[in-house]
Amino acid sequence: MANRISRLFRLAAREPSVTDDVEQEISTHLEQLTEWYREQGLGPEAAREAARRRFGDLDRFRRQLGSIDRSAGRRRRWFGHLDSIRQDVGLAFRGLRRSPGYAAVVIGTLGLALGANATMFGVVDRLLLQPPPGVVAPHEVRRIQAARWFDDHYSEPWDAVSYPSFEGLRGGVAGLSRVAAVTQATLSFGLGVEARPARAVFASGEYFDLVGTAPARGRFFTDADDQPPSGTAVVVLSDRFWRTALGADPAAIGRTIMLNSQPYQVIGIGPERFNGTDLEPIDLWLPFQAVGPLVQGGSEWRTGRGWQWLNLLARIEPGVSDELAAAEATRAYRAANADFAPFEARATLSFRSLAAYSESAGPERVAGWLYGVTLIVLLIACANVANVVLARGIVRRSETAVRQALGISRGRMFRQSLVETVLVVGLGLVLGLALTRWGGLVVRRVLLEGTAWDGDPVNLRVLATTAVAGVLAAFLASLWPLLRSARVDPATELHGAGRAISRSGARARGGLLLVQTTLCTALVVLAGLFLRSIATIRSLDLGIRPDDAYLVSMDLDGRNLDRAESIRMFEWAADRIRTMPGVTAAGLTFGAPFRSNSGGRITVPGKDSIPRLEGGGPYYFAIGPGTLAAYGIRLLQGRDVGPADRRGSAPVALVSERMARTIWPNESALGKCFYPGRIADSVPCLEVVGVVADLHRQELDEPPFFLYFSVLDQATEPLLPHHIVVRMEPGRPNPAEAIRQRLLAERTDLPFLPVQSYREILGRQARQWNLGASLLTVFGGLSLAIAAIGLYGVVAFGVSQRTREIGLRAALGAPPRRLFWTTVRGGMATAALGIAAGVGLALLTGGRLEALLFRTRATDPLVLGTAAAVVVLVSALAAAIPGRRALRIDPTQALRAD
Amino acid sequence: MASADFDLLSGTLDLLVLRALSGGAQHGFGVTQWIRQATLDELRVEDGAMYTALHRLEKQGLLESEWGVTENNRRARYYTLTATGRRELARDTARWTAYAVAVFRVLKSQREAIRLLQQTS
Repeated sequence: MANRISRLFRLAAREPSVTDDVEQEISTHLEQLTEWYREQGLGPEAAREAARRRFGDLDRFRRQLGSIDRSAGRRRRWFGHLDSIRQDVGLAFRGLRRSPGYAAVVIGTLGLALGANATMFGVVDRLLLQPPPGVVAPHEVRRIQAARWFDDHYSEPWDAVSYPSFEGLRGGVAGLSRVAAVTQATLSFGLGVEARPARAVFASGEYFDLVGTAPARGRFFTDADDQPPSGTAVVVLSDRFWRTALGADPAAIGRTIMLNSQPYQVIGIGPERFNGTDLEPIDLWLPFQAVGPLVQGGSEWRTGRGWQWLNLLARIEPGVSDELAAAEATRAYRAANADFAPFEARATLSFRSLAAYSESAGPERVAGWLYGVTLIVLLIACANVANVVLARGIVRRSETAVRQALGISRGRMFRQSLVETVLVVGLGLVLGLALTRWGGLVVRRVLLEGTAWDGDPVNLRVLATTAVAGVLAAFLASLWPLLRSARVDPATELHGAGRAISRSGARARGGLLLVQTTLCTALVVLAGLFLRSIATIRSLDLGIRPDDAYLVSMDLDGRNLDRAESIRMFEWAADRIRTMPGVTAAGLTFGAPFRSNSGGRITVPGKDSIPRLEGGGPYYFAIGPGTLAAYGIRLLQGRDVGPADRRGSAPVALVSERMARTIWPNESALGKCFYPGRIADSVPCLEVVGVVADLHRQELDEPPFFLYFSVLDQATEPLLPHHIVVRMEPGRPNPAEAIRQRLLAERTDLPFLPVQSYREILGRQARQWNLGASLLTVFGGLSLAIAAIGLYGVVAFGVSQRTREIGLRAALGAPPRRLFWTTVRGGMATAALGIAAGVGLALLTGGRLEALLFRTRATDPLVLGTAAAVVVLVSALAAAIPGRRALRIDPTQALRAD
Repeated sequence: MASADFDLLSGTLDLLVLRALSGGAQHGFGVTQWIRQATLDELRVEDGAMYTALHRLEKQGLLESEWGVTENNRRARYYTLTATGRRELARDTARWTAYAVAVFRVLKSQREAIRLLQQTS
């Protein structure tokens, strides 16, 4: 109400000018017209009447003219604003060109920080927030995971289940409209020199129906293609695979392609960018029942409840709560496993959203943290820019005062500063987005390799968040200091008081420097902790020597070879590889450290029970001659497996040091024997002929467990070799291509042979720490550079403001060292305080971080010390360079100035 | 129908007002008088409507106005064509002639149309 009244008054106050003009114009016209009629001979009354008539409805025209004029006025004013803004922009551009240092610092700082921010947002968005592209109504789709019951506690939930468990769920769970199962495998597409790997998803018939996508060409497979015993041998291709492997053949539908020597008919091609529900790039989808020939172990997976190899997806019915559906799913799961081991029969199911990355939780948790870190970098950048803007405001005080005295309104001056700020922030934003484009590609290629992530790193979502961050940054960094520096009193300024340092301004800038140094130190500590984690991983004794070790895989599934033939084929390949230049050892292996392994009970004659270790076991790998040397596993006692240990000879085994010590304490394990399995009489006893150093089985961080090696050729279970381990001389290049050529020279029907270096395999394991260490080093370095520029600026500014004072003191005979300290002292003290506070901050928050580190305490004194030392050193340098300028001040000149 | 009348009228009126000012600055009364004489008072437009046209054209930037004093010492608003106004007048004249020629072709004879064309060019 009050508002309306005031508006009324404002209107009343403004209107008269337009109304008066119109009134004046009309009355002049009527007078002139009346006069004209009089001249034509009309009487005064008649003339006035005629003029009125000729003019028309007076009130109506009065209103019309008034409204036209008022809207014209508004328009003029608006154009006026636009014009003055254009002037301001021009002024701002000229101002920036006059002080390129200021422009460079502000634009560069904001650009780098916004770029880092946008890059990390892109990563987090892809890994954590965005559902896989192409899935219809992704908010209804869940990943199912099961927490297993282990005697007295539930395990962390994991998402692999057996086929019988899936059968139990697919039959129908209240609240879930559809349940589908998927698993991944790498197949060989084609044979011989043409062969290439194809990443395949084996999916149940419900899969595409659940996903809801329509194919770009042909059709997707359905339940009808997925009927036991062998389904239909059909395959759906991803758009990417269709283009790269089949050259976008328009007649691809209906074509038969060979996968691991088995024919499959192409029935459909997925839409562009569609990658199923996985993050890795997928090439093909095959119906479950049709993959029998491609899976080791024949059809055992149909019934084997120990085969936990499927990931389940479900579409939840609208309106049904997750809790309810999960409870129903748990009931169905338990019913399907009722007669099985309690860890399955009592398992509890829960759901995860489709958006979060499907595999281990490490990298994306780190990515989330890193996004937080980039926000801190942005904050540091803001503090820096605020500092520079404040300093500029002070430097321009006398200019401001002159202009105010000349009558430029404060509003106008504030608007000019605002325009300059918007311009600078806008340019910073542009720089930031350019960096994001480049940084996003680098992060993808280097750190998130093997993630299906197409498209521009700068998308609408990134653009929107970055713009918001930019606006907030602009507010923090510029508006606040601008509001401060707008308070200038022309009189005191023009009297020369402005040359004295403003105390409150110095306090504000000191505070900003403090915040900056604190945050920056904390970030450097964080980077140090991750680097320390990497160093710890590097120095781990893994039991194998990962450098120069390679794993060659040969997938013979689908060839109907028996065990002996398979082993002969692998031995042939290992023999050829051994004769290649640079190869020092090669051997067959079933299972491989950090790839796969098997476990089972053992029985030891003369012992009623064997102790249980935290990490479980015993686990085993089956190997052949040369394998131990190729892995680089140390033999501590006894002998290695030799050519004489083959089928028919007495079966032997090598045991890990921990297994030897725990099972046969205080005596030598050599010559002892044990039976694999529960029953002692069905299989021959394995004689322990050697003890090897403990090695890692699957992960970088593992609780202790038992481990042994049996001989592949002597195994009683139908074990097939998986890989050949190859050790090269140090410094040799990756032998992948050479090995393929060597083997293809003799046999042209080989499948694609994937060769992975152990460094690669471990790199995947250590991805979360690599990601953290490399990006934090970049961000930490960035924040350090920004903070150093900030400190430099503060000290340099102090020197320039105190030129007179320093000159005077020099003239009075103050020693140069003293002068140097005077200028540097303030900045260094603040920096020292900030460093201490930063270390404190790191100590306070470090506890929450330890879960992300690798066997590194957040309070690691070496890291804290080094980080502090680095920041101290950089700060000292940043302060000393402008501080030296104080020494070069010529007293006579300094005092003569002004 | 009424609005169609008005459109035709207002377009025509605008053209006439611009033409009235093509000789130089003029106050509103001068403009109304010129138009009446030029059209032999056949348009029967109220003076108020002419003022509306003047103000509208000023808002569009085709005219500029300034307060001045008449020979009889009255305060009056004087209007002048802007550069845009001059261009608009030329364009409208051409457009109107073409229109009129077309209409004449239909209503009268070809000869009449040619005569009109020769007159304006």
